[in-house]
Amino acid sequence: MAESHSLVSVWIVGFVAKPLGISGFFVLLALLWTFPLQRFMAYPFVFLFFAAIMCSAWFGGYIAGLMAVVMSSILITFFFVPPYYSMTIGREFQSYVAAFVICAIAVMALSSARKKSETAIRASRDELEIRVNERTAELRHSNQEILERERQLMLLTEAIPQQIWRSSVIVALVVLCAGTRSFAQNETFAANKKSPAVAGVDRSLDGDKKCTLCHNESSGHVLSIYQTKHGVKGDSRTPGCQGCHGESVKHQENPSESPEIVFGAKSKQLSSTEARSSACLSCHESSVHARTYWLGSAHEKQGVTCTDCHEMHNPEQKVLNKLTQPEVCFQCHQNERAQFHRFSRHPILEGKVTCSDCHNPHGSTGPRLMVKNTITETCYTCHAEKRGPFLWEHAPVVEDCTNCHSPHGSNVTPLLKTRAPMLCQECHTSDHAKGLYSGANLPGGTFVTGNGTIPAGGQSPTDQANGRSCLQCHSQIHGSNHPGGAKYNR
Amino acid sequence: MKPGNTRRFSAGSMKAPVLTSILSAILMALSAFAAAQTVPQNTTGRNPGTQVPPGPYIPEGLTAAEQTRPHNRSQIGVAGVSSPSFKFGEYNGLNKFHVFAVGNFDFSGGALYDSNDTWRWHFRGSSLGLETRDGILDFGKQGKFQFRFAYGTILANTSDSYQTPFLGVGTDTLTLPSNWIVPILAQKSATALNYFGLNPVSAAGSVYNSHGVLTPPTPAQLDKMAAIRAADLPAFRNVDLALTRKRGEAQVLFTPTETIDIPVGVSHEHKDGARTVGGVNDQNTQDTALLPYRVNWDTDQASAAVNVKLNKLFLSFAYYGSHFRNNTEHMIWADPAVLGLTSALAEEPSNQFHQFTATGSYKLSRDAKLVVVGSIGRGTQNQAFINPSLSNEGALPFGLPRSSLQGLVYTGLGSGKFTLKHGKWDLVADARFDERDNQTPLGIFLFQDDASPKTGTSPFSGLYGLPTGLGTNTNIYNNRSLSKLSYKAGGEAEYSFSKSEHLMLGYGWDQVDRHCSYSWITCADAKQVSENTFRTEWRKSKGALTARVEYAFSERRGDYNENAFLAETPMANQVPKGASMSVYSFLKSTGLTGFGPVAGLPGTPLTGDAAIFTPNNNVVAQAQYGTRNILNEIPGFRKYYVADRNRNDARTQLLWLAKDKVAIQGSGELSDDDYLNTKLGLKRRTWWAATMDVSYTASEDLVADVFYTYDNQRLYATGDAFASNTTAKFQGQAGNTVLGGPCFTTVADRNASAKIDPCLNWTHNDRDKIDTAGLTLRRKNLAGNKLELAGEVVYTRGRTENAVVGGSYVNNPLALAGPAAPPLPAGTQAIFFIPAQNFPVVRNDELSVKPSATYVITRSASLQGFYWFQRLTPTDWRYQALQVGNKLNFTPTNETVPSYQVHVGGLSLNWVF
Repeated sequence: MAESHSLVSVWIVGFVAKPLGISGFFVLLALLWTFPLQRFMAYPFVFLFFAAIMCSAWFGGYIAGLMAVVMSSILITFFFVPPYYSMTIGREFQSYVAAFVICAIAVMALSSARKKSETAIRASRDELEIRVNERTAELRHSNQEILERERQLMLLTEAIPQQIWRSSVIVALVVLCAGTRSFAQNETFAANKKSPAVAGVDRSLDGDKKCTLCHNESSGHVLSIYQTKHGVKGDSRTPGCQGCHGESVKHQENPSESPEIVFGAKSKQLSSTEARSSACLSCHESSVHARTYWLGSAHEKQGVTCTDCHEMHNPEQKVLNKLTQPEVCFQCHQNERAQFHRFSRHPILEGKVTCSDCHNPHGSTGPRLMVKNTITETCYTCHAEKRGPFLWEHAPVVEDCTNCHSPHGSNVTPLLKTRAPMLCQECHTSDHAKGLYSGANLPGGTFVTGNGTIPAGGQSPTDQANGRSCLQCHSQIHGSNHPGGAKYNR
Repeated sequence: MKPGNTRRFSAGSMKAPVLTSILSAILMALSAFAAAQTVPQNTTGRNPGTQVPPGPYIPEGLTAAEQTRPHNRSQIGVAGVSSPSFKFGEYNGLNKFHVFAVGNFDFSGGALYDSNDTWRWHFRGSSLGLETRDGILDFGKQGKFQFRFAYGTILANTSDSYQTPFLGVGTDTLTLPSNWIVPILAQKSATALNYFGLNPVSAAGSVYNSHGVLTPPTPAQLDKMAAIRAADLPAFRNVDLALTRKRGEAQVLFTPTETIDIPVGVSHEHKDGARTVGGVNDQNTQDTALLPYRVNWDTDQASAAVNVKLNKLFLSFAYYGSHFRNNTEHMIWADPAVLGLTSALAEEPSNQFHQFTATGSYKLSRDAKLVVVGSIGRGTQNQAFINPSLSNEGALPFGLPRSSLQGLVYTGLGSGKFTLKHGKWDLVADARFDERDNQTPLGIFLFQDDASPKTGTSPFSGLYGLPTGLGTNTNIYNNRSLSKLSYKAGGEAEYSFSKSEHLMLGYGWDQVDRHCSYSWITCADAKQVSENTFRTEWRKSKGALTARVEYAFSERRGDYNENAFLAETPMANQVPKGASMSVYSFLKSTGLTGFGPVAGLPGTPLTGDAAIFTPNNNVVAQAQYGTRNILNEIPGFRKYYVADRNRNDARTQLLWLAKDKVAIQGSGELSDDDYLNTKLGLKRRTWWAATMDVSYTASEDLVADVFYTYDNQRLYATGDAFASNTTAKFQGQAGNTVLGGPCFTTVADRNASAKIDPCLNWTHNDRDKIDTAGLTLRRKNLAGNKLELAGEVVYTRGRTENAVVGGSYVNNPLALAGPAAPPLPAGTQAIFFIPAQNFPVVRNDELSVKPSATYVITRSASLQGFYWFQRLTPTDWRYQALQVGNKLNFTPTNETVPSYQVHVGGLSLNWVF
């Protein structure tokens, strides 16, 4: 029964879920890219769908290819063939759609056939390689046997005449045995010396024993890694020492030699950024915490590596704790450190908000490593009330919150680049926004004129220059939903 | 392996959870007795100003067993705050004078590290004795599933000195006390709310009467003042302005196979409290109040993804949803100037957003990778519009075109990135588009400004489907559905001269297209803006020295449209009564902008459409396109976020590990934005900052770090306070009186060229200069290896200077109107030219000192004492206007600048087990 369940699940995954996922993904991508490109084309732009079908067939086989053909046909008909947003096909486009479907099927068939043949070629190549390896191993084994016999023969030929010359046959036999043993010992030493070189990287924790013999509890906090996620034996993905530090044969033979990959920032043998990053990415490049965007990201391009921020042997990594994460970031971002000591700031120092709430240091689709696609989307994760859409939208607000705000800290509350009315007058020069507001417009303002000091009269103080300034009235500056709030005052 | 390495720990047994529960219960009980809010954070980090929890002492020389088993830590103590301050306790909750409990714990356990069981759990809590408490519980089987439940509170204390006369704080309806007397002293102003009556000094002050004589108040006026004071002053009472954000979240991660991950998360957040919001009662007199605004919001967020890894291919399908609910849709308040009149404000509308994202990456080879991402989102907002009859201010006398917005926004993202490492070359090429497509339907909304009943008859009244009865001051507005499509493409190539020396060159192209769906005219100030960016970076390490230099230059250009503002006023495209063409047609045919001709009075009186639309060569007459406000822009004005710009960015960083004991790090950043084609508006923004860090490790026991950062920002903007050309010589005074200032000699001359008066041009030069310096010190192993001292000092000195150049005209108070007014002596200036004065410097000086001491009692117990002194000495002119008695039309709040000097001290006992 269990077996039949397993067969069903295998069938569902293999023939439905996987092809559907692959084809859906590529067709969706094609759809998203076609939307902006379509506006430049006079006719339905279907080339990206061909690419999607090709990729689907390539990665998922015939079934995925067919699914991609069906999905593409439906989406093209619905979105890009007049009449739009309908499954009806206008008469002048019927032949166009038919041609697309035929070509799509052909492309699909071609692509999957190529993939199939390539897979077959690769399989035969692999099989051939295995056979060659086996033959090579057999040959090597035969050679070794021949060499061994030659050597034994040589020993015998050397030992026997000496014994005949000096002593009895019994003594000769003893010498013979001793010679053979010596040879065996030499062979064992050679094998021991050679074994790490030919052995694969031992990724099990049992394999760590060869390291922890020396790197024990007296070596700082090396063993603390067993408190972390990288030290769980039951997890088959656990890397073990050599999984990260490399096989390090020379280091095992001679402790004064450094391991293959050295992460310690202060070490003179510090490995290259590529080597250190590769050690982590071999597992983490595409996994649950996908480092998909790492390559080409701002940090990667500047030579930052994983262990510049992460302490793998520390069960309480600073960078993974909200309270202490900024300490790690501030090592390089020192100006931001100062900004978080300003009068108006986000609660970073209190550990209520942390750098990674807004930024993804591993790379992202957004600007400035934002965790979302845009700056505004990122801000809305905490400030959803400003998302709208509002009836009356304020253009710079919709564009980018940082048009007016300095998110790390400011001398002006709340996190403003500069204070009103100056901030508002950078964009508004009509009606009362055009006015000159200065220190003369504050309470108690007086002027020295030709007639002496007089009260400022109607010029001082003014509402626009005092208190909340412009925002005293235009308080709904992020957008208003009042039918009479076009000026953001209701 | 040494025997010690194989020792096992027993955290996986049932003892640990039971013990955890008991300890948690004790801590919770202790925290319940603590009425005050927050935990002081001790500092032991190498970066001053960042904080870690007052951590328990971690003994050195741990055995193998101790190193390989999880630790449980707890901290219980008592602390006190010397004085209340909302600003000091803005986020940490130490805003009250109180004694409070210190409670932090960090427990973890699970299966043995070398067993085949992967079950592990982790339970952390901090600030338990305070309102800002947090807790996180993680558990699961590694590689199979993982659960996380988290709870946290964020405070945002705004003000504890705010006062208001309004009743009903915490509700959506604010009223005034029944005995409220309108605070208008007729002697000062017969119509406008002036609150002079609340201040006996200003209320008793003399004013010039219509005869030009300085006159004290009459007994009747003094009686009125006393009555206002007796009735209104007691109404002002303190309301604490603070917001509390409570958030709970649950996350689960399923890993059914090694190639599939399914993370799912949900969160709920409730935000509650009060803040201020400006409310307008009368737009003409600008009578406003900073109202106590009830915040009662809920936000739910959900996310889910399926991540699949297929050999070299990685696929991810993800969903994100966010639902914001405002539990109070509107606010109504009473007008302090007109008894019985109410005004209404629409609050932030409830809204939803749903987003699907597909990501794929493929490793083409060991050194080449392609990543593509597609994302599509849908945001909606359909909260019912405010009921026009909810208040009696008469804002919406013509009803509404529909009952709700039907707001709909699509967002889209497509992104592709190709990376290749080949020999000494490292190449990146990427392309991206993102779109905000606002599909919200348009409507024509008719409304009156605050306290502005209809007057006159609009030239569009009863035409073009509009109702009859529209006034010349009726606003006829279209909403705008702001949309934006951005394309980006670029590439970078880095060449490595050696393992430690690299040079990068890069180029980026960026184009933004803006439009409004369904708009009758282009609504974007710049319909299309393109930017080219060139970047270069060099970095090198040699011995103890690491250096990096980056530079980028970008050039942004766009097609600026000075008449885009007309998109909001659909009547600009219709012919008003009496004219032969619409405003838009007139502007197109004359080549003018809404500012009209850049000229003084015309030589001969204007006729035809010119006389209707730009009388006296002034700006386009508002009523002729159905608006009450002057919306136009002066030719040459550019909004900085779309204006033509040249940007220079530079950054440098230098690290010198002088010796093993000393490290010196310096960095500098510069950003310069030159809005080269802007004549008015923000013309230049320059920012630079420099930092120096020195770290000294005298021994393993003594570490000291010092840093200093200087930050300087300058914004330079220009403006024009133009007036309207008139034929008037001087109001009330016969003859052509004398004027002050360097531009004109007579009032008549100035009035004839008021629109182009060069004396009304002004500049702002806004500077922020901020110094931040810090020191941290840590000394271990004192008193027989039993005492550890740590300390941190941070000083921040902030200065904001707002320098203004220009001037304005002010009437001589003795140059009065009316037949009884005495004429000015010959040669006396009837109008003074007042040179602008710089605003006072805004200062924020903060000093923070945080020493702590940890005494080791046993290997698992330690005693920690901590102290925190912080002082803030700010000055800020904006608070002057909030005091009673100042000549301003907004309701005073008596708020004061948040200056404080606070001491916090405490003692805690720490256990590690």
